[in-house]
Amino acid sequence: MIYLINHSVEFNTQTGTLSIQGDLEERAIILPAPSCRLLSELIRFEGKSVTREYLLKHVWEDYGFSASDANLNNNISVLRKGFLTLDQPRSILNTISKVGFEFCANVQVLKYLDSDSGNSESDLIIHIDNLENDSYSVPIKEKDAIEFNGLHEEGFLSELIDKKEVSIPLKNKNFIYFIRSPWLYLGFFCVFCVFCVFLVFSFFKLDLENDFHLANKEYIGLIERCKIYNLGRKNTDSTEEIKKMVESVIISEKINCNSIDASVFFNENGNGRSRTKIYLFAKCTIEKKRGYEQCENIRTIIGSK
Amino acid sequence: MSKRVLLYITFAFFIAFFIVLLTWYFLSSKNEKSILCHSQQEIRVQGEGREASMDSVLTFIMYGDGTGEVDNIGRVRINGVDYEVKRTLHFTYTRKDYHRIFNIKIINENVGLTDNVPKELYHTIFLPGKPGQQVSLSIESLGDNLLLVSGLVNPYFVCRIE
Repeated sequence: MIYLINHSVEFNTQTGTLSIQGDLEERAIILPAPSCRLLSELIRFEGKSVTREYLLKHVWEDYGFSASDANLNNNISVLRKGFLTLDQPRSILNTISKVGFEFCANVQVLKYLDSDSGNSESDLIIHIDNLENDSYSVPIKEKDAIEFNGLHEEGFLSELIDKKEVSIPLKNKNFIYFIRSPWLYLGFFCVFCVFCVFLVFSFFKLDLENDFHLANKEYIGLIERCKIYNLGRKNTDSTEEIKKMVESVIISEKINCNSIDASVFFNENGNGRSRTKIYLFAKCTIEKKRGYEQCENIRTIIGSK
Repeated sequence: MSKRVLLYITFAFFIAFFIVLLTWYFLSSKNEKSILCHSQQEIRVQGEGREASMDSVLTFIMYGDGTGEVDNIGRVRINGVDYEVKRTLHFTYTRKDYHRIFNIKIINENVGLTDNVPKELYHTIFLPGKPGQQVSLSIESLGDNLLLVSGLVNPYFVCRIE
């Protein structure tokens, strides 16, 4: 990016130089990298005060360098000396007591550079209008996310790609906006795939290990160490009645639910109006390490077959 | 929405649809495992002027290639007369309704030397259909290593998979 400051001074972020517009290259002032970054940040907030903490974070910490007030002061001095050398007023860079600094100058963007500051894609400049109708320019890398909230303008994304500048109206000062990120779409796609596969498996209700459909069974309760399940469709009998029926079978058949863990599966078909009643009572003992060990079935058919 | 975003979304849908199709095909694969399932059975039949019971050990086998067998060894009592049962029923099966309904046809019956249950009575009282007839069975998993074998309405038995 090449900025034009106060209509006369060119600041080239790529080469890190300050020079008089149109002047010889040899007379350009080469700024150290931290000073270059510092000036870029100050330009972003031209006319507004920027806190020391903000500058320490965004000029040093974000780049992996340790931040210190001494560093900040030194680089402010470098910038002031540079501007003074180029006949700029001292007031171009003001110290705001107990707050930070303020860059007071007229700044225009002269030129966009394709590989600015080592970025592989061009920066985008977004002019943002806040509630007080002020605006400021935010140079951002195309892949960065800036925070934005409340923008629902149609066609915004295409505007961002086709144009380098776009104005975004804001509802408040806190804003969230994700610029097109391939990782975001990949994430959505993966979630969608997992959801589809989950739907398919749920639809089939498969027991994968045995490759069979899972039977409906309803847990009724516990009788001593036997877990009671009702098989198939829900009967009109309540769970308590089913439990009593099972209990009576356990007693009459002298089934041991006392000393071993087991699952009891029960099913009754037929009702008072039907001539045929069919009961299935299946007790399967459980061996903790091996799963179910043995199943005993009692099937009773009363009436016509 | 930009054309590029629409393209991404369309592409994602196609890939997801393809993955669902592959999953469907995998689940409906005809390559099946063999199943060996054991149970102890006591069947009691009362009605129509008849009382019958069977107390036996039953082994239900499906070979995964569309054939299987049922081994039944135990005792039968019909109207107070005791018999011994020791026979193997060979059947063929085809699968319908995704992993639940099987069409089964008994194609052969091997009766052991000690088995003296009258065939007609055995077929009528204890089998869902006579040999040569096609019957529909539902075979479902109860979780872990248990199978529930049922007719279309009534369950027959629960067995443990080996």
